[in-house]
Amino acid sequence: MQYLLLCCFDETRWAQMPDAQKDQIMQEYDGFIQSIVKSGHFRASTKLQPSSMATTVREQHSKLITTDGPFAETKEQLGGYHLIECQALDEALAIAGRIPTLRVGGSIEVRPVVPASQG
Amino acid sequence: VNLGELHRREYGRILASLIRAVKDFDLAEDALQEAFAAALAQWPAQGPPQNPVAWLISTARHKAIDQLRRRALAESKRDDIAALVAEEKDTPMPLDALRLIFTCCHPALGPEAQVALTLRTICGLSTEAIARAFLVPAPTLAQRLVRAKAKIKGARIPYEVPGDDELADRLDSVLTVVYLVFNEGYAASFGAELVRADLCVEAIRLGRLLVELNRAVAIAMADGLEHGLALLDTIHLPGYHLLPAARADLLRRLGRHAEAAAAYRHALALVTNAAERRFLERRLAEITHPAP
Repeated sequence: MQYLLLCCFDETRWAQMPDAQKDQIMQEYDGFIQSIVKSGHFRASTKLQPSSMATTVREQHSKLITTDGPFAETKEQLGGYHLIECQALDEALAIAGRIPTLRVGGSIEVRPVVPASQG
Repeated sequence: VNLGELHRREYGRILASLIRAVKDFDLAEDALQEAFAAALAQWPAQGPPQNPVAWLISTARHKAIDQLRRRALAESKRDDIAALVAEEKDTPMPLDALRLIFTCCHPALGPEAQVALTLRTICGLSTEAIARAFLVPAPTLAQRLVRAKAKIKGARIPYEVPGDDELADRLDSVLTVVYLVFNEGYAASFGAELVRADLCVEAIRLGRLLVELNRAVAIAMADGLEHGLALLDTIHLPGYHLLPAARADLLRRLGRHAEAAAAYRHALALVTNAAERRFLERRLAEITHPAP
């Protein structure tokens, strides 16, 4: 069973953090990724550019509308994701709980992926 | 054998065993319903089986196997069927009910869903009775149950007693459900609603099951009773008498009689049920005036 870990955090807060603290978190992040590669859970990981780079497309009255910015104004923004393979939800939650940005106010949304056979 | 009585007493335990075996709430519920219907049809004429619970489990399991076979199967279901056919246990395992409580009270489900699912699954209350007790329309409650079961299946919420490192947190979430059930029944016990008095009874039944859990956990732990005691001390549930009662029990087993007596007195100050009060008083007497 695959789970997508969506890593959200407050970009403003991140931008204001001292470099030393950012480096520390990123270093811990490397350790985290290595550990899930080693344990066999890792499938994919991606770090996203800030949400100010985002463009949203939606349809209104059968016309495509393209707008600047993320699709919803929220305090937290999506910063990256990890795709992991686990036996069950609890295992995914335990791995999500080890993501370093949690300690600087981030949150992780854990979403089960639709199995290929049910696609 | 009184089938109604059997249903009331054993439904949750039997269902827990079936869910563990078939790994599907709905399938297990349907199969058990069919097994009870078969019992209703057969027992009065043929006489009840020697072991009614074993009969119900094995009949329900065969109903589940038939059901799975009828569903024109994808290759992936073959393993499930093979496992079910191979399954030989016809007695409910105490651990099955505990696993299921942890599944029903998983923090990944909303608190309302946890309460509804626990009452429906572990206690065997009907959807209508739960809806009446919580003053919501039956379709709303049914919808809540459907969504919770879909999430258990879709997100694969496991059927297992959590490991030591997260047990205390998860136990908290289970106790909160018991507390909510009890409060809902208690708060309404001034009215004339019978269903709500039932909620208190169910909460106490759940509470008893949890005390058994605490005991099992304490004994299972490699580090023994002290560890179990430390675990109990991390649970915060003010005014809930079963917590000091469980503590007292562990202290008594550790031979720490003075502390155990204090914990029994604490539990006695909170208990409201006469039968439980008598039990606690007897235990307290045993350690304060040991028999020669």
